[in-house]
Amino acid sequence: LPKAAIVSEGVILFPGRNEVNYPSLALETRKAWAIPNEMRPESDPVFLQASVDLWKRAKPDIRLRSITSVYNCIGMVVASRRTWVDLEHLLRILKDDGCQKLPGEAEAQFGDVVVYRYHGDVCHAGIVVGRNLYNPEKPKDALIVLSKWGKEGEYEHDASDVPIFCGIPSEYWTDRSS
Amino acid sequence: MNTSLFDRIESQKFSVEINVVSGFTQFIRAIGYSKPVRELMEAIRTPEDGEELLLRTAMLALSDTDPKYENPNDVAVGAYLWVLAVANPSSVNLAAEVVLDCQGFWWARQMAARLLAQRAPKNEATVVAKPAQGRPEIETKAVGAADCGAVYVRQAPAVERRLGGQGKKCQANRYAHSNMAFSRSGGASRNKGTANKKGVAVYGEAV
Repeated sequence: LPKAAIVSEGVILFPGRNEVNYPSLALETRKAWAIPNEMRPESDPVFLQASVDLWKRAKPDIRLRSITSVYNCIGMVVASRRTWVDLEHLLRILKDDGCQKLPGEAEAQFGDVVVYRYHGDVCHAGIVVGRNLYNPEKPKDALIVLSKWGKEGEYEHDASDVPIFCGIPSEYWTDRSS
Repeated sequence: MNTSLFDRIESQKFSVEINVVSGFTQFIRAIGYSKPVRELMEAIRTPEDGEELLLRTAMLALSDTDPKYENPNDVAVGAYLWVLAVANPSSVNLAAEVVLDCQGFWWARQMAARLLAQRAPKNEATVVAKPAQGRPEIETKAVGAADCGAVYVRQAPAVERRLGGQGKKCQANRYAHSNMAFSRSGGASRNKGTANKKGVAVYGEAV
């Protein structure tokens, strides 16, 4: 029998706790704070492809870099794509690593971190990978960003061209000292 | 209940749309804003609706999936747990227990863990559901067995018919004749044996 079984007579049987935990990695900030993390299980390739197809239809201008479920946007930014790191730790990690908040979008450069917020909460992050040329005929966001959309794909996109639950670009952080 | 709501919430499209979130708070916000989940919430009007959703959640959690990969029902099960927690809170712990014992869940596992964390610690058997007619509330008690148990949930005939009609051998049928399972014909003696062996048996209707 499995750890939990339901039978047709209308009985749910659960013989004991056997909670599942996923592997995590030893990660630390520069101030030696252990970063909580967990490697999310991989998704079936069929589902991953369906995700790519769906988002490509919804947002035709995005460019897929890769797709895996194992890491999220924060894991991409602070853990070299190795593992899933919760959003709530992002600002502490950036501060511990000596990053500085920039005055605004104009100061952001290649390699800087974009923090997205939704109703005030940090909900997404990405890395600046370029700038769009100004075109009055077809205005675009100034920044081009590489970010991982939850467990879905890692996309290169205009800064605000993200799913609604990823929020809007709100802060820009850099590790550059000069 | 309108089964098309279940289909929408269990669809690949819904899962993909919700799975862009990177944190549990955002997951709750995303499912809370989603139209099919709001409609499902409104559709639960009677205790029977809550029971149907409870059984749907358990069946989905226990359905066969490829263990190499994340459970494709993760978002749907997480959403159902949330709806149960809001619309039918007395039954949500049963579903959360089942989910926590299953492999491959991410959001649903976090949802279940948080729901159960809100529950007061138990040192002995606790009646978690309303007694069903003609059944004892508690068959036996066993020290230290608070997290072990079997719960009788009255199953709506419509649910049984639908589950049976899926053409796929489901968990429910597979374990129907197990000696660890209760049966209507098995009576109290079989139930008592299981209760003694496993700890606590609680019979009742989900309310």
